[in-house]
Amino acid sequence: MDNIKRLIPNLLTAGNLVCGILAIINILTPKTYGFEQSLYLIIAALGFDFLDGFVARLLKVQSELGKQLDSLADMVTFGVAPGIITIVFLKWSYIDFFTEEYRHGMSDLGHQIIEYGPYFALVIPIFALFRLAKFNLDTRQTSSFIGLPTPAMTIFFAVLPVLALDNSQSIWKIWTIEHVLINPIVLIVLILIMSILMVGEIPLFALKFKNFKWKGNEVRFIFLTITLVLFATLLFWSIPLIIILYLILSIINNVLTKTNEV
Amino acid sequence: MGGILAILFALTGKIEWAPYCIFIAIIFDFFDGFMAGLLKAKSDKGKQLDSLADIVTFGVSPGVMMFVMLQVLYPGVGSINIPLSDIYSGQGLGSNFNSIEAVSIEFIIIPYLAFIIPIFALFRLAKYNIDTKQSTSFIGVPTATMAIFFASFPLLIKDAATSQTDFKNWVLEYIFLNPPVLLILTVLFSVLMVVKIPLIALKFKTYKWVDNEIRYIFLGLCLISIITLKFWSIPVIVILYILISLVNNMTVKSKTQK
Repeated sequence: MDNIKRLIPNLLTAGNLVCGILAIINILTPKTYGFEQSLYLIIAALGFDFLDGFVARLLKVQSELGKQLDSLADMVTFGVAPGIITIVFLKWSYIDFFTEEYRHGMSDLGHQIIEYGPYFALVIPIFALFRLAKFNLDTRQTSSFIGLPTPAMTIFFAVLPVLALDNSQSIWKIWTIEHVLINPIVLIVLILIMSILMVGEIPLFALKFKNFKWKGNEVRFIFLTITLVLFATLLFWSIPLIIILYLILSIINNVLTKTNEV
Repeated sequence: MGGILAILFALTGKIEWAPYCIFIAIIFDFFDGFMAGLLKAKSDKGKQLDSLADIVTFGVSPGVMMFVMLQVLYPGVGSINIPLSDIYSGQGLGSNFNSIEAVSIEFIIIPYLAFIIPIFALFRLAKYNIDTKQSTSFIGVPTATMAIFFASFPLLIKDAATSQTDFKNWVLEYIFLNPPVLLILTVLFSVLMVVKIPLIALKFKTYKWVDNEIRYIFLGLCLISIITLKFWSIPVIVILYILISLVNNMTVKSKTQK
């Protein structure tokens, strides 16, 4: 019985891994709704990732093995998968951005940049690797994170292509798709920002409540409320906004706690 | 990195490139530990980085490769068009498969069984990280050994498909293009990764013959088979490695009993 208890969280971790692999396979096999399915798989993996830690705590079977399993599975789901999704997305945005006419007058070097440029997205798994290795050893990261957590980054990159495929009539959405999402330069800048944020020494608040009082949890309550409102009104479009909001609120929170201490 | 490229190649229709990526990754994997030892820069962080990279290269990529191979062998399901399908359709075996129009449900599910490779590799690597026993010998087949074994398959299939040797054609038809055999190998190696069989590690404490007989014999046989068999030596060496380790365990045990 005890063995089975110990196995449950580990099986959930295996579920996380399988979702990650499926997301990768799904994106690389030519299908119409590949991006959308991969996003759902990543969300499912996120669910598994949350549950394994939660169940382990509930059954009181936290172990060193479980921790190791968790971070190894995270590397696949929240390191390799977003990298590969972004490679495919970049390739796609390249085709849209560098049209036939645009390519016509280009030098050989230009053509090569177009061909190999999307592999720039491989910096995502590389930084995720360093981030996860650091996180495993860091004892500071219990109630707050230092640097952007890999799942947040993963959701961000997994949702971008889905948004780009949204054929909504709304003017601002069309504008965003054209100027932000299907623009390789913006995407590359986003990749760099997210990668650096992952390993940067910025404290970010975690959504772990020690108590449910307003005082001490202001930031968490404000964030959750805005998140709910945004998600209810904008659905998937809210995800990048929520992540940006999370970063901004964390920075404000840091400034405030610093002034409090002074 | 090598691992990610291997996955990309396997899934984008260049499965014969994937093995090379895994080979390169193994060399990198060897060098990072070697360099760290040489520069005396061994750290916990380095160990963590190493095992995180290992799960991708030696866990996910062989799993994905096996998945692709199985999917190709069950046509009608495979939305992946890879050159491998061209190779086997010329073998007579494929034409039989092509006539099957209705795809039954088990054909869709079976390729996903390849995922037990990454799952067991996950457990194996996590265990290895917290285990302190494995310094001179491995317990259970190392993930890199398993990865190289499966990585050699696409190369051998390509070689066998173009060769006229009866033996190679036989191996191709009954082992490489035979889903039940592939599945058995998958399960076998997955289990071998996590069971508690001590295997020899190629770490020499001294270079004397007496303590290292088994290592020298193994290396000698490896060299001979590489020279004579080329790529075909890879699975042979892996199987040899496991067998020699088993023999070694038995002799060590009988010695201690005396």
